[in-house]
Amino acid sequence: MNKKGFEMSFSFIFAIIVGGFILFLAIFAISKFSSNQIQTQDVKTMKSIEVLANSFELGYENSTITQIQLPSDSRIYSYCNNLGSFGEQELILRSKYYDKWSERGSGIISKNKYFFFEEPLQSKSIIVFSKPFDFPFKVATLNYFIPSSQEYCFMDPPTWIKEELEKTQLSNFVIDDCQSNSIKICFEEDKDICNVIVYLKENYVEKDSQRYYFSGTALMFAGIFSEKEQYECQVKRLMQRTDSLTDLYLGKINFDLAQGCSANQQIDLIELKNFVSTLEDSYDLTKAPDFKNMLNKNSRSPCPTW
Amino acid sequence: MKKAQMKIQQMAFMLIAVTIFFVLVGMFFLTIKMATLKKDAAFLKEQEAKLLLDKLASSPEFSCGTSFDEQIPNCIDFDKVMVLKSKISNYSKFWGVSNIEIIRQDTKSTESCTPQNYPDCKILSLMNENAEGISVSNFISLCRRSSIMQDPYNYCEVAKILITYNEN
Repeated sequence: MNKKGFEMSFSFIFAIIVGGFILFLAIFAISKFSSNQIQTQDVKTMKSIEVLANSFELGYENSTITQIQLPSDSRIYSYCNNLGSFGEQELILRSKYYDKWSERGSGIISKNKYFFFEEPLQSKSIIVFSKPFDFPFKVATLNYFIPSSQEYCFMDPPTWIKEELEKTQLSNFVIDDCQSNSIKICFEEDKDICNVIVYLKENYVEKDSQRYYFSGTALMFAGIFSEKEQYECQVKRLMQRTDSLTDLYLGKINFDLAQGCSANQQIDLIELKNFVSTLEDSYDLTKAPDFKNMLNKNSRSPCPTW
Repeated sequence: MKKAQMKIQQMAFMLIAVTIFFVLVGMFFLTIKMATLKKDAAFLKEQEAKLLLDKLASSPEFSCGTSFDEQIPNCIDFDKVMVLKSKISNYSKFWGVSNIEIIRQDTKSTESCTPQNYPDCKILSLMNENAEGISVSNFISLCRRSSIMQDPYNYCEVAKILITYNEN
Protein backbone atom coordinates (compact mmCIF):
# COMPACT_ATOMS: atom_id res chain seq x y z
CA MET A 1 0.00 0.00 0.00
CA ASN A 2 1.11 3.49 -0.84
CA LYS A 3 1.57 5.84 2.07
CA LYS A 4 -0.11 8.74 0.17
CA GLY A 5 -3.40 7.04 -0.74
CA PHE A 6 -5.59 3.99 -0.63
CA GLU A 7 -4.72 1.42 -3.25
CA MET A 8 -6.85 -1.59 -4.07
CA SER A 9 -5.37 -4.60 -5.75
CA PHE A 10 -7.01 -5.93 -8.93
CA SER A 11 -7.94 -9.21 -7.22
CA PHE A 12 -9.85 -7.27 -4.54
CA ILE A 13 -11.88 -5.29 -7.13
CA PHE A 14 -12.49 -8.46 -9.14
CA ALA A 15 -13.79 -10.31 -6.05
CA ILE A 16 -16.14 -7.42 -5.15
CA ILE A 17 -17.61 -7.21 -8.69
CA VAL A 18 -18.09 -10.95 -9.16
CA GLY A 19 -19.28 -11.42 -5.55
CA GLY A 20 -21.79 -8.60 -6.00
CA PHE A 21 -23.02 -10.15 -9.23
CA ILE A 22 -23.49 -13.55 -7.57
CA LEU A 23 -25.29 -11.93 -4.64
CA PHE A 24 -27.58 -10.00 -7.03
CA LEU A 25 -28.39 -13.21 -8.93
CA ALA A 26 -29.14 -15.06 -5.67
CA ILE A 27 -31.48 -12.31 -4.38
CA PHE A 28 -33.21 -12.06 -7.77
CA ALA A 29 -33.71 -15.86 -7.92
CA ILE A 30 -35.04 -16.02 -4.35
CA SER A 31 -37.54 -13.19 -4.89
CA LYS A 32 -38.73 -14.76 -8.17
CA PHE A 33 -38.96 -18.15 -6.54
CA SER A 34 -40.92 -16.92 -3.50
CA SER A 35 -43.31 -14.98 -5.75
CA ASN A 36 -43.86 -18.16 -7.81
CA GLN A 37 -44.34 -20.14 -4.60
CA ILE A 38 -47.11 -17.78 -3.46
CA GLN A 39 -48.81 -17.98 -6.86
CA THR A 40 -48.54 -21.79 -6.81
CA GLN A 41 -50.08 -21.82 -3.33
CA ASP A 42 -52.91 -19.57 -4.59
CA VAL A 43 -53.66 -21.92 -7.49
CA LYS A 44 -53.51 -24.92 -5.13
CA THR A 45 -55.97 -23.28 -2.70
CA MET A 46 -58.33 -22.36 -5.53
CA LYS A 47 -58.14 -25.88 -6.97
CA SER A 48 -58.93 -27.31 -3.51
CA ILE A 49 -62.06 -25.13 -3.39
CA GLU A 50 -63.03 -26.23 -6.90
CA VAL A 51 -62.50 -29.90 -5.99
CA LEU A 52 -64.52 -29.43 -2.82
CA ALA A 53 -67.28 -27.85 -4.92
CA ASN A 54 -67.97 -31.30 -6.40
CA SER A 55 -69.41 -32.25 -3.03
CA PHE A 56 -71.81 -29.29 -3.21
CA GLU A 57 -73.68 -30.91 -6.14
CA LEU A 58 -77.20 -31.35 -4.85
CA GLY A 59 -79.20 -34.51 -5.28
CA TYR A 60 -82.53 -34.48 -3.51
CA GLU A 61 -81.28 -32.07 -0.85
CA ASN A 62 -82.55 -28.50 -0.97
CA SER A 63 -79.32 -26.77 -0.01
CA THR A 64 -75.87 -27.36 1.49
CA ILE A 65 -73.55 -25.15 3.51
CA THR A 66 -69.79 -25.39 3.91
CA GLN A 67 -67.28 -23.11 5.57
CA ILE A 68 -63.84 -22.84 3.98
CA GLN A 69 -60.82 -21.54 5.89
CA LEU A 70 -58.17 -20.02 3.62
CA PRO A 71 -54.46 -20.07 4.55
CA SER A 72 -54.32 -16.26 4.64
CA ASP A 73 -56.49 -13.25 3.92
CA SER A 74 -57.48 -13.76 0.27
CA ARG A 75 -59.28 -12.15 -2.62
CA ILE A 76 -61.19 -14.22 -5.16
CA TYR A 77 -61.88 -12.95 -8.67
CA SER A 78 -64.13 -14.47 -11.32
CA TYR A 79 -63.82 -14.35 -15.11
CA CYS A 80 -66.72 -15.83 -17.00
CA ASN A 81 -67.24 -16.44 -20.72
CA ASN A 82 -69.81 -18.18 -22.92
CA LEU A 83 -67.42 -19.86 -25.33
CA GLY A 84 -68.11 -23.41 -26.46
CA SER A 85 -71.18 -25.42 -25.56
CA PHE A 86 -71.30 -24.50 -21.87
CA GLY A 87 -69.05 -21.48 -21.35
CA GLU A 88 -66.62 -21.48 -18.45
CA GLN A 89 -65.75 -19.65 -15.26
CA GLU A 90 -62.19 -18.97 -14.18
CA LEU A 91 -61.58 -18.38 -10.47
CA ILE A 92 -58.41 -16.59 -9.44
CA LEU A 93 -57.17 -16.30 -5.88
CA ARG A 94 -54.75 -13.64 -4.65
CA SER A 95 -53.48 -13.94 -1.12
CA LYS A 96 -52.02 -11.42 1.27
CA TYR A 97 -48.47 -11.98 2.55
CA TYR A 98 -46.66 -9.40 4.66
CA ASP A 99 -49.30 -6.76 3.84
CA LYS A 100 -48.84 -7.25 0.10
CA TRP A 101 -51.25 -8.90 -2.32
CA SER A 102 -49.78 -11.65 -4.46
CA GLU A 103 -49.61 -11.11 -8.22
CA ARG A 104 -52.42 -12.36 -10.43
CA GLY A 105 -51.47 -15.92 -11.30
CA SER A 106 -53.31 -18.43 -13.40
CA GLY A 107 -56.73 -19.51 -12.22
CA ILE A 108 -58.83 -22.63 -12.09
CA ILE A 109 -61.23 -23.04 -15.00
CA SER A 110 -64.53 -24.77 -14.39
CA LYS A 111 -67.03 -25.75 -17.08
CA ASN A 112 -69.63 -27.56 -15.00
CA LYS A 113 -69.85 -25.34 -11.92
CA TYR A 114 -71.47 -21.98 -11.26
CA PHE A 115 -70.07 -19.70 -8.54
CA PHE A 116 -71.68 -16.39 -7.57
CA PHE A 117 -70.08 -13.76 -5.33
CA GLU A 118 -69.43 -10.04 -4.94
CA GLU A 119 -66.10 -9.20 -6.56
CA PRO A 120 -63.49 -9.22 -5.24
CA LEU A 121 -64.55 -11.46 -2.43
CA GLN A 122 -62.10 -10.66 0.36
CA SER A 123 -61.94 -12.79 3.48
CA LYS A 124 -59.90 -15.36 5.37
CA SER A 125 -62.90 -17.55 5.75
CA ILE A 126 -65.75 -18.00 3.28
CA ILE A 127 -69.13 -19.66 3.48
CA VAL A 128 -70.36 -21.57 0.47
CA PHE A 129 -74.00 -22.39 0.25
CA SER A 130 -75.67 -24.08 -2.68
CA LYS A 131 -79.11 -24.27 -4.20
CA PRO A 132 -80.45 -26.19 -7.19
CA PHE A 133 -81.52 -24.20 -10.26
CA ASP A 134 -84.60 -25.65 -12.00
CA PHE A 135 -85.80 -24.44 -15.42
CA PRO A 136 -88.24 -26.30 -15.08
CA PHE A 137 -86.12 -29.47 -14.69
CA LYS A 138 -82.92 -29.40 -12.64
CA VAL A 139 -80.22 -27.63 -14.64
CA ALA A 140 -77.37 -27.13 -12.18
CA THR A 141 -76.35 -26.50 -8.60
CA LEU A 142 -75.53 -22.85 -7.96
CA ASN A 143 -72.83 -22.08 -5.39
CA TYR A 144 -72.77 -18.76 -3.55
CA PHE A 145 -69.64 -17.50 -1.77
CA ILE A 146 -70.06 -15.03 1.09
CA PRO A 147 -67.44 -13.74 3.54
CA SER A 148 -67.87 -15.32 6.98
CA SER A 149 -67.76 -11.92 8.64
CA GLN A 150 -70.45 -10.31 6.47
CA GLU A 151 -73.99 -10.13 7.77
CA TYR A 152 -76.95 -10.05 5.38
CA CYS A 153 -80.09 -8.61 6.88
CA PHE A 154 -83.38 -9.55 5.19
CA MET A 155 -85.98 -6.93 6.04
CA ASP A 156 -89.57 -8.06 6.26
CA PRO A 157 -89.23 -11.00 3.85
CA PRO A 158 -92.27 -13.04 2.75
CA THR A 159 -92.89 -16.22 4.75
CA TRP A 160 -91.50 -18.61 2.14
CA ILE A 161 -88.19 -16.71 1.96
CA LYS A 162 -88.08 -16.59 5.77
CA GLU A 163 -88.43 -20.38 5.76
CA GLU A 164 -85.72 -20.75 3.11
CA LEU A 165 -83.35 -18.60 5.18
CA GLU A 166 -84.13 -20.42 8.42
CA LYS A 167 -83.45 -23.76 6.72
CA THR A 168 -79.90 -22.67 5.96
CA GLN A 169 -79.26 -22.05 9.71
CA LEU A 170 -76.60 -19.52 8.72
CA SER A 171 -75.85 -16.94 11.38
CA ASN A 172 -74.86 -14.54 8.56
CA PHE A 173 -78.50 -14.33 7.52
CA VAL A 174 -80.49 -12.18 9.92
CA ILE A 175 -84.18 -11.42 9.62
CA ASP A 176 -85.33 -7.86 10.50
CA ASP A 177 -82.85 -7.38 13.39
CA CYS A 178 -80.27 -5.45 11.34
CA GLN A 179 -76.89 -4.19 12.52
CA SER A 180 -75.57 -0.96 11.07
CA ASN A 181 -72.80 -2.61 9.01
CA SER A 182 -74.96 -5.37 7.57
CA ILE A 183 -76.07 -5.53 3.93
CA LYS A 184 -79.77 -4.80 4.01
CA ILE A 185 -82.06 -6.65 1.64
CA CYS A 186 -85.59 -5.29 1.31
CA PHE A 187 -88.61 -6.77 -0.41
CA GLU A 188 -90.94 -4.85 -2.71
CA GLU A 189 -90.18 -1.47 -1.15
CA ASP A 190 -87.45 1.07 -1.73
CA LYS A 191 -86.22 2.48 1.58
CA ASP A 192 -83.13 4.64 2.03
CA ILE A 193 -81.34 2.03 4.10
CA CYS A 194 -81.79 -0.78 1.55
CA ASN A 195 -78.66 -1.98 -0.26
CA VAL A 196 -80.58 -4.54 -2.28
CA ILE A 197 -84.27 -4.55 -3.18
CA VAL A 198 -86.00 -7.73 -4.33
CA TYR A 199 -89.12 -7.30 -6.44
CA LEU A 200 -90.79 -10.70 -6.32
CA LYS A 201 -93.79 -9.83 -8.50
CA GLU A 202 -91.63 -8.46 -11.31
CA ASN A 203 -88.89 -11.06 -10.68
CA TYR A 204 -85.87 -8.81 -10.38
CA VAL A 205 -83.27 -7.76 -7.85
CA GLU A 206 -82.18 -4.11 -7.82
CA LYS A 207 -78.68 -3.31 -6.64
CA ASP A 208 -76.51 -0.27 -7.36
CA SER A 209 -79.26 0.95 -9.75
CA GLN A 210 -78.91 -2.22 -11.81
CA ARG A 211 -81.53 -4.88 -12.35
CA TYR A 212 -80.86 -8.60 -12.10
CA TYR A 213 -83.85 -10.46 -13.55
CA PHE A 214 -84.35 -13.95 -12.17
CA SER A 215 -86.44 -17.07 -12.46
CA GLY A 216 -86.72 -19.10 -9.27
CA THR A 217 -85.20 -18.79 -5.80
CA ALA A 218 -81.72 -20.00 -6.82
CA LEU A 219 -81.27 -17.14 -9.32
CA MET A 220 -82.81 -14.66 -6.88
CA PHE A 221 -80.00 -15.47 -4.40
CA ALA A 222 -77.51 -15.33 -7.28
CA GLY A 223 -78.68 -11.78 -8.02
CA ILE A 224 -78.32 -10.77 -4.36
CA PHE A 225 -74.80 -12.19 -4.00
CA SER A 226 -73.13 -11.39 -7.33
CA GLU A 227 -71.93 -8.69 -9.69
CA LYS A 228 -73.97 -7.69 -12.75
CA GLU A 229 -71.42 -8.79 -15.39
CA GLN A 230 -70.79 -12.12 -13.66
CA TYR A 231 -74.53 -12.69 -13.19
CA GLU A 232 -75.44 -12.06 -16.84
CA CYS A 233 -72.66 -14.33 -18.08
CA GLN A 234 -73.66 -17.11 -15.66
CA VAL A 235 -77.33 -16.84 -16.67
CA LYS A 236 -76.25 -17.35 -20.29
CA ARG A 237 -74.12 -20.35 -19.26
CA LEU A 238 -77.11 -21.83 -17.42
CA MET A 239 -79.23 -21.36 -20.54
CA GLN A 240 -76.52 -23.07 -22.63
CA ARG A 241 -76.77 -26.06 -20.28
CA THR A 242 -80.58 -25.96 -20.37
CA ASP A 243 -80.35 -26.07 -24.17
CA SER A 244 -78.22 -29.24 -24.05
CA LEU A 245 -80.44 -30.85 -21.42
CA THR A 246 -83.50 -30.13 -23.57
CA ASP A 247 -81.84 -32.15 -26.34
CA LEU A 248 -81.26 -35.02 -23.91
CA TYR A 249 -84.91 -35.00 -22.82
CA LEU A 250 -86.13 -34.83 -26.43
CA GLY A 251 -83.99 -37.91 -27.12
CA LYS A 252 -85.30 -39.64 -23.98
CA ILE A 253 -88.90 -39.05 -25.13
CA ASN A 254 -88.08 -41.10 -28.26
CA PHE A 255 -86.97 -43.99 -26.02
CA ASP A 256 -90.21 -43.68 -24.03
CA LEU A 257 -92.29 -43.58 -27.23
CA ALA A 258 -90.62 -46.80 -28.40
CA GLN A 259 -91.90 -48.41 -25.18
CA GLY A 260 -95.40 -47.06 -25.83
CA CYS A 261 -95.32 -44.21 -23.34
CA SER A 262 -94.77 -40.47 -23.38
CA ALA A 263 -95.41 -37.45 -21.18
CA ASN A 264 -96.30 -35.51 -24.34
CA GLN A 265 -93.68 -32.83 -23.70
CA GLN A 266 -92.08 -32.51 -27.16
CA ILE A 267 -93.78 -29.26 -28.18
CA ASP A 268 -93.09 -27.65 -24.79
CA LEU A 269 -89.45 -28.74 -24.88
CA ILE A 270 -88.98 -27.42 -28.41
CA GLU A 271 -90.53 -24.11 -27.30
CA LEU A 272 -88.14 -24.05 -24.33
CA LYS A 273 -85.19 -24.84 -26.60
CA ASN A 274 -86.11 -21.98 -28.95
CA PHE A 275 -86.45 -19.67 -25.96
CA VAL A 276 -83.08 -20.48 -24.34
CA SER A 277 -81.17 -20.36 -27.61
CA THR A 278 -82.37 -16.81 -28.30
CA LEU A 279 -81.94 -15.44 -24.75
CA GLU A 280 -79.74 -12.33 -24.81
CA ASP A 281 -79.72 -11.23 -21.20
CA SER A 282 -81.46 -11.87 -17.89
CA TYR A 283 -84.34 -9.55 -18.85
CA ASP A 284 -85.47 -12.21 -21.34
CA LEU A 285 -86.16 -14.54 -18.38
CA THR A 286 -89.36 -12.53 -17.84
CA LYS A 287 -90.57 -13.88 -21.22
CA ALA A 288 -89.88 -17.54 -20.31
CA PRO A 289 -92.59 -20.07 -21.22
CA ASP A 290 -95.09 -21.01 -18.54
CA PHE A 291 -93.56 -23.90 -16.63
CA LYS A 292 -96.69 -24.75 -14.62
CA ASN A 293 -98.17 -26.63 -17.57
CA MET A 294 -94.92 -28.52 -18.22
CA LEU A 295 -94.51 -29.46 -14.55
CA ASN A 296 -98.13 -30.63 -14.33
CA LYS A 297 -97.80 -32.75 -17.45
CA ASN A 298 -94.60 -34.27 -16.11
CA SER A 299 -95.93 -35.10 -12.65
CA ARG A 300 -99.22 -36.53 -13.92
CA SER A 301 -97.73 -38.63 -16.71
CA PRO A 302 -97.19 -42.38 -16.20
CA CYS A 303 -93.79 -41.80 -17.85
CA PRO A 304 -92.33 -38.56 -16.45
CA THR A 305 -89.55 -37.15 -18.63
CA TRP A 306 -87.45 -35.81 -15.73
CA MET B 1 2.70 -16.84 -15.25
CA LYS B 2 3.12 -14.17 -12.61
CA LYS B 3 2.13 -14.80 -8.98
CA ALA B 4 -0.67 -12.18 -9.16
CA GLN B 5 -2.14 -13.71 -12.31
CA MET B 6 -2.08 -17.07 -10.64
CA LYS B 7 -3.96 -15.66 -7.65
CA ILE B 8 -6.67 -14.12 -9.90
CA GLN B 9 -7.10 -17.39 -11.72
CA GLN B 10 -7.41 -19.23 -8.41
CA MET B 11 -10.03 -16.78 -7.24
CA ALA B 12 -12.00 -17.05 -10.49
CA PHE B 13 -12.08 -20.82 -10.18
CA MET B 14 -13.15 -20.54 -6.57
CA LEU B 15 -16.00 -18.14 -7.46
CA ILE B 16 -17.19 -20.44 -10.26
CA ALA B 17 -17.10 -23.39 -7.87
CA VAL B 18 -19.10 -21.47 -5.25
CA THR B 19 -21.68 -20.42 -7.90
CA ILE B 20 -22.03 -23.99 -9.17
CA PHE B 21 -22.42 -25.22 -5.60
CA PHE B 22 -25.28 -22.80 -4.89
CA VAL B 23 -26.94 -23.55 -8.23
CA LEU B 24 -26.82 -27.28 -7.41
CA VAL B 25 -28.28 -26.67 -3.94
CA GLY B 26 -31.03 -24.56 -5.54
CA MET B 27 -31.78 -27.23 -8.13
CA PHE B 28 -31.95 -29.91 -5.43
CA PHE B 29 -34.39 -27.76 -3.46
CA LEU B 30 -36.47 -27.09 -6.60
CA THR B 31 -36.64 -30.80 -7.46
CA ILE B 32 -37.97 -31.58 -3.98
CA LYS B 33 -40.51 -28.73 -4.28
CA MET B 34 -41.63 -29.89 -7.74
CA ALA B 35 -42.05 -33.46 -6.51
CA THR B 36 -44.24 -32.23 -3.62
CA LEU B 37 -46.25 -30.10 -6.05
CA LYS B 38 -46.75 -33.07 -8.39
CA LYS B 39 -47.87 -35.19 -5.44
CA ASP B 40 -50.32 -32.48 -4.34
CA ALA B 41 -51.70 -32.16 -7.89
CA ALA B 42 -52.15 -35.96 -8.14
CA PHE B 43 -53.87 -36.01 -4.74
CA LEU B 44 -56.26 -33.20 -5.79
CA LYS B 45 -57.00 -34.96 -9.08
CA GLU B 46 -57.79 -38.17 -7.20
CA GLN B 47 -60.01 -36.31 -4.75
CA GLU B 48 -61.80 -34.60 -7.63
CA ALA B 49 -62.47 -37.93 -9.37
CA LYS B 50 -63.75 -39.54 -6.15
CA LEU B 51 -66.06 -36.62 -5.34
CA LEU B 52 -67.26 -36.50 -8.94
CA LEU B 53 -67.98 -40.22 -8.76
CA ASP B 54 -70.09 -39.70 -5.64
CA LYS B 55 -72.04 -36.83 -7.14
CA LEU B 56 -72.24 -37.70 -10.85
CA ALA B 57 -75.52 -39.56 -10.32
CA SER B 58 -76.97 -36.28 -9.01
CA SER B 59 -76.00 -34.24 -12.05
CA PRO B 60 -78.95 -33.61 -14.39
CA GLU B 61 -77.26 -35.29 -17.38
CA PHE B 62 -77.29 -38.62 -15.50
CA SER B 63 -79.85 -38.51 -12.70
CA CYS B 64 -83.17 -40.33 -12.75
CA GLY B 65 -84.94 -37.42 -11.07
CA THR B 66 -88.57 -38.44 -10.62
CA SER B 67 -88.70 -40.16 -14.00
CA PHE B 68 -89.07 -43.59 -12.41
CA ASP B 69 -91.95 -42.78 -10.05
CA GLU B 70 -90.04 -42.47 -6.80
CA GLN B 71 -86.82 -40.64 -6.07
CA ILE B 72 -84.15 -43.33 -6.10
CA PRO B 73 -80.87 -42.26 -4.51
CA ASN B 74 -77.70 -42.67 -6.59
CA CYS B 75 -79.77 -43.51 -9.66
CA ILE B 76 -78.70 -43.10 -13.30
CA ASP B 77 -81.19 -42.90 -16.16
CA PHE B 78 -79.88 -45.40 -18.75
CA ASP B 79 -82.05 -44.01 -21.59
CA LYS B 80 -80.84 -40.46 -20.93
CA VAL B 81 -77.19 -41.55 -20.82
CA MET B 82 -77.62 -43.32 -24.18
CA VAL B 83 -78.81 -40.00 -25.64
CA LEU B 84 -75.90 -38.28 -23.90
CA LYS B 85 -73.49 -40.69 -25.63
CA SER B 86 -74.76 -39.52 -29.03
CA LYS B 87 -74.08 -35.89 -28.05
CA ILE B 88 -70.85 -36.46 -26.15
CA SER B 89 -68.74 -34.28 -28.44
CA ASN B 90 -70.32 -31.25 -26.73
CA TYR B 91 -69.35 -32.62 -23.31
CA SER B 92 -65.74 -33.65 -24.07
CA LYS B 93 -64.08 -31.49 -21.38
CA PHE B 94 -67.16 -30.84 -19.28
CA TRP B 95 -66.33 -33.16 -16.37
CA GLY B 96 -62.54 -33.01 -16.80
CA VAL B 97 -62.11 -36.79 -16.96
CA SER B 98 -60.89 -39.11 -19.74
CA ASN B 99 -63.82 -41.51 -19.69
CA ILE B 100 -67.04 -42.41 -17.88
CA GLU B 101 -68.24 -45.99 -18.13
CA ILE B 102 -71.38 -47.69 -16.91
CA ILE B 103 -71.04 -51.44 -16.53
CA ARG B 104 -74.17 -53.56 -16.13
CA GLN B 105 -73.75 -56.40 -13.66
CA ASP B 106 -76.81 -58.51 -14.39
CA THR B 107 -76.26 -59.40 -18.05
CA LYS B 108 -74.68 -62.20 -20.10
CA SER B 109 -73.77 -59.80 -22.87
CA THR B 110 -70.17 -58.65 -23.16
CA GLU B 111 -70.77 -56.07 -25.87
CA SER B 112 -70.36 -52.31 -25.72
CA CYS B 113 -73.63 -50.42 -25.93
CA THR B 114 -74.59 -48.96 -29.31
CA PRO B 115 -77.98 -47.64 -30.50
CA GLN B 116 -78.35 -50.95 -32.38
CA ASN B 117 -77.90 -53.36 -29.43
CA TYR B 118 -79.26 -51.16 -26.60
CA PRO B 119 -80.28 -52.26 -23.93
CA ASP B 120 -78.84 -55.78 -24.51
CA CYS B 121 -75.27 -54.76 -23.85
CA LYS B 122 -72.75 -54.74 -21.03
CA ILE B 123 -70.66 -51.55 -21.14
CA LEU B 124 -71.70 -48.03 -21.98
CA SER B 125 -68.55 -46.05 -22.61
CA LEU B 126 -69.24 -42.34 -22.85
CA MET B 127 -65.99 -40.80 -24.03
CA ASN B 128 -62.94 -42.77 -25.03
CA GLU B 129 -63.21 -46.55 -24.67
CA ASN B 130 -59.43 -46.93 -24.71
CA ALA B 131 -58.71 -44.11 -22.25
CA GLU B 132 -55.72 -44.85 -20.08
CA GLY B 133 -55.24 -43.55 -16.59
CA ILE B 134 -56.39 -44.14 -13.05
CA SER B 135 -59.93 -45.39 -12.46
CA VAL B 136 -62.31 -45.08 -9.56
CA SER B 137 -65.63 -46.91 -9.38
CA ASN B 138 -68.86 -47.08 -7.43
CA PHE B 139 -72.15 -48.98 -7.53
CA ILE B 140 -75.32 -47.24 -8.70
CA SER B 141 -78.93 -48.02 -9.60
CA LEU B 142 -79.41 -48.05 -13.36
CA CYS B 143 -83.00 -47.50 -14.48
CA ARG B 144 -84.69 -47.48 -17.88
CA ARG B 145 -88.16 -47.72 -19.37
CA SER B 146 -89.10 -51.14 -20.68
CA SER B 147 -92.35 -52.73 -21.85
CA ILE B 148 -94.17 -55.99 -22.42
CA MET B 149 -96.50 -55.84 -25.42
CA GLN B 150 -96.28 -52.02 -25.40
CA ASP B 151 -97.27 -51.96 -21.73
CA PRO B 152 -94.52 -49.80 -20.20
CA TYR B 153 -92.84 -50.43 -16.84
CA ASN B 154 -89.71 -49.18 -15.08
CA TYR B 155 -86.75 -51.52 -14.88
CA CYS B 156 -83.91 -50.87 -12.41
CA GLU B 157 -80.77 -52.92 -11.84
CA VAL B 158 -77.42 -52.65 -10.09
CA ALA B 159 -74.56 -51.34 -12.19
CA LYS B 160 -71.09 -49.99 -11.72
CA ILE B 161 -69.93 -46.53 -12.73
CA LEU B 162 -66.27 -46.14 -13.53
CA ILE B 163 -64.45 -42.84 -13.99
CA THR B 164 -61.03 -42.81 -15.65
CA TYR B 165 -58.83 -39.77 -15.23
CA ASN B 166 -55.39 -38.81 -16.33
CA GLU B 167 -52.89 -37.84 -13.64
CA ASN B 168 -51.31 -35.13 -15.82
